[in-house]
Amino acid sequence: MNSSSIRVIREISDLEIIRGAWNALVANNSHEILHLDVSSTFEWNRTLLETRLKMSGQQIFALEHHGMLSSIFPFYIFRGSMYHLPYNCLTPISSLYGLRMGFIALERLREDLEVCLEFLYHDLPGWDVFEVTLVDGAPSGIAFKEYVVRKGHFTEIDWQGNYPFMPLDGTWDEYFNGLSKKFRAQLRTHEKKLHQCGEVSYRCCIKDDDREFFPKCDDRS
Amino acid sequence: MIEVESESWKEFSGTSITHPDEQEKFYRIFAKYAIANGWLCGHFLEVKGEPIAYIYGVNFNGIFSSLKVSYKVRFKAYGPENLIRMYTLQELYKQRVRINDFTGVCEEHKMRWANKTYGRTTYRLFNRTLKGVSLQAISKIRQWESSLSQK
Repeated sequence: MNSSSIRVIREISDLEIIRGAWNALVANNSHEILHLDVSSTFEWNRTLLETRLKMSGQQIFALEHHGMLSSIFPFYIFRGSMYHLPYNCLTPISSLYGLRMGFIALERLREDLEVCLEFLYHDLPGWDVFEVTLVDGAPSGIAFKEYVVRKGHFTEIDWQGNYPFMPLDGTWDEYFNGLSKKFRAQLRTHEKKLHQCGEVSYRCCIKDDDREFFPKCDDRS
Repeated sequence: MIEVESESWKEFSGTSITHPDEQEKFYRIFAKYAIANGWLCGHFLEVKGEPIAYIYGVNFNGIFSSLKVSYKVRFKAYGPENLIRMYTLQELYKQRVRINDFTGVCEEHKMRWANKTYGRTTYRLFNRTLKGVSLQAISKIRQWESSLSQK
């Protein structure tokens, strides 16, 4: 007997109930560069829903295993055009603005992804194309590719790109000394020139008291 | 931040967060959540108390992701973008952040700092609707044409 079930969530109030479980899935799958990031959190998706989708059109699928949330697939449908043909595109909400995107799932990623995609094919009307951006070599990217091969689905690659990052290994001095000599000299020259304009200061703001430095928070919502 | 943005090159090109567009609204609302969760991190460079450059980002599970980098154009000759990156990276080392994600595609100014990259791919799967099947057929033909032209 299958102990998994899929639930479609359309009300924001129902989403708020699973906020903790949603973010726990992200938090436990975001320690490495190939893993998820803040753009998979409830808060990021909630902000996109509010600002870009005006709280409508969302198709959010929550998968539960033995009554516990095991994965969440926050999607929406938009009207696109490809090869001069209009079509309905189903895509993750974070594709509106996201960073290291992926499917929000942990141990049951492969199983839940299959359940979700099969549900989309067989039970969700109103879409012609499913479009998703995934990090190459990430658990979501691997699971998706395995699924399409297993099912014999045809996929089109719409876009590919590389994104820069750096592990902060060792010390700052070691890293800085590893930069090119020319670049280090340029940085020192700029620093010196800037100091000639007046007192130079740098600050890092992370606390609530630093709100003056951040864009005025919208407290209306 | 708003002060820097209003004098940044983005203000003139129309991509600044001070423009009343959806991105600005996104940042304003998300900042509220990010501050509440302790994710938000703003790095500022000032001269005589005047902010001239900033990096606005999030520190999530030991990985810092830059969401927005900006500087005042009249300070361009002083390399404010590189200087704010330098101070920020120094601070991230101090805070024992494990990874810095520059976000956005590889650009020369980022690659002077970054030493690694990750890839992202956008895939399309087609449904069995009339439009889905038609688009899939066109896509297959295009792929076939492309493979022929490569031979």
